[in-house]
Amino acid sequence: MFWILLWKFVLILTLVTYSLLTIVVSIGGVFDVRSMIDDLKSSSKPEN
Amino acid sequence: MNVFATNFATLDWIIVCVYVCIPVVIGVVVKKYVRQLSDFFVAGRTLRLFIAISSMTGTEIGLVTVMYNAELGFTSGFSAFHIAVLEAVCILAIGLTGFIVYKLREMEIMTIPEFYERRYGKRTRIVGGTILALGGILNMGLFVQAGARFMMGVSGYSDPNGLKLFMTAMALLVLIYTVLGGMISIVLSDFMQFIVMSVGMIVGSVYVINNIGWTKLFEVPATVEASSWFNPLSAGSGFGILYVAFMSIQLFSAGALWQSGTMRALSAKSPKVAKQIYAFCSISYLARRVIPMLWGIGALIFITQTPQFLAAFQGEKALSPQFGMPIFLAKIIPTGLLGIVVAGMFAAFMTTQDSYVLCWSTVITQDIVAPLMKKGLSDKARLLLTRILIVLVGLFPVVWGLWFEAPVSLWNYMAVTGTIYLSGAFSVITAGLYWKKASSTGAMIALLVGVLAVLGIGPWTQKLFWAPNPIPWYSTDKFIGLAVFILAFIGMTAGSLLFPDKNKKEK
Repeated sequence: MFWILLWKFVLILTLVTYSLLTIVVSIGGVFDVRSMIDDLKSSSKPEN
Repeated sequence: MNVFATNFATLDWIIVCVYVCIPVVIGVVVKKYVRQLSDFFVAGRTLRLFIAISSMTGTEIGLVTVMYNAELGFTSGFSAFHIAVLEAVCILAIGLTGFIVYKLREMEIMTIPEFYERRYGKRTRIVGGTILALGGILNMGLFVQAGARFMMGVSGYSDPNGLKLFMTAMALLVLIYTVLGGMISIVLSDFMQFIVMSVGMIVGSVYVINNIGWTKLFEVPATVEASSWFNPLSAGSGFGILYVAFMSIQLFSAGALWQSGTMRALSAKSPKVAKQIYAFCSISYLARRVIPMLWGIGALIFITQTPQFLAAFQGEKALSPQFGMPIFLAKIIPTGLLGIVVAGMFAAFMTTQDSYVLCWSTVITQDIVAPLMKKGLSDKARLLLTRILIVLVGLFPVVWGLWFEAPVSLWNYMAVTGTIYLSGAFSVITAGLYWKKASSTGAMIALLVGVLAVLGIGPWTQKLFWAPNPIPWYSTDKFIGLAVFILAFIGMTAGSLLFPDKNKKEK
């Protein structure tokens, strides 16, 4: 019984937390991509 | 009813084919940003938190990961969940403490063997780099084979040669965008693929639970023993205490030091971000195992309900357990949606394949070839060599997968090939970072002892020990894996105490 309860908890925890992580990273990632491209653009410009 | 009957239709093929071409476009677009070595290898160390999480998740959830975890769920049930929990705890611990990864990022190195040279000298770097490349390339040897099996099960297309051609084309697509844009195109593709893959995994799980039913999911199928289905310590589960001990140390060391994952920490904008990536990714590491295992468990329950399907997995000509999950998904997910789930799985294949080929090619260039050249290698020569190696390393799984059949489960093959590098590296790097007396002789002993892990891959072990069936405990992959970790640790400690570095003594 202990093992069944434990694995039920692990399964629910995984599905809930991974769904939340997907939402947060998908939104936050868009901003990160923009910043990353800006960083690369500025670093690839020749210095005067 | 045909065991390979499927809902996968022309619409799904179109979705998959269109989708897999997008990263190539990204590779072409970002090529202009690759100006120097660090841009190509570590994306100019510009990775912020969210994009780094998506990239690390994408790398660590491959189609092969989905396949070997589904196989574990199919054969061992919920007892396999212990591997997921152990791994998530290890990754979270690394994220919270910064153990190893924080210091490595602070040192601004590009590869793990680069650390060997700074701490122990050039000779250790070359030997360590060679062992890392050997273990890593062997480790990815079955990626294409597992991918072909997934496609065969899910599409119902049963000509193995046609599938190998399809997978070879997939591997070539990955090579094109990796050669062009290096780490920059990888992280951008990884971000897009993270979204598709995650949606695919969540949608797939909803369908599995909905099809089987929550209560029935936790009932033991008629073909397996009740206690071993849930309890990993039970004798019949195929795991046991020895396996759990091996997994604990293997997963912890892999979490901190598996080059493809560690490269994300090394590409992070700061050491603090490197720590945060690990803390958040503990969720991804949990999901990368639990979700495919759930699919595998669902597959076995589904198959045991239909005698015809069950018969296909029994007897002399039984299908590999790896076919269970894709055959199951192909029957329960409707056309159109199945294409999206399969595109998600191909996203998983591509994100892992691209990172691995870049990773091992980088190691061969930076840590083996360049240190061996007396006059050194120019940046241009390094980039060219890495691009050539990307093609060669990328084609290896196509050739290896054609003729090699893992004698153990797919996961155990991955674990043992990973141990070739990890067992030595874990002691060498931990001691190098946290123990002043660590010496180059100790490091060399530990690294070479690690190579003994190759004995854990089935047939070689059996030949060496003339072992009858069943294999005795001392020649099983789990015992050899654990023993090699312990021996490498002893080698590192004894070697350092008995043969301290001379220059340190003088200082």
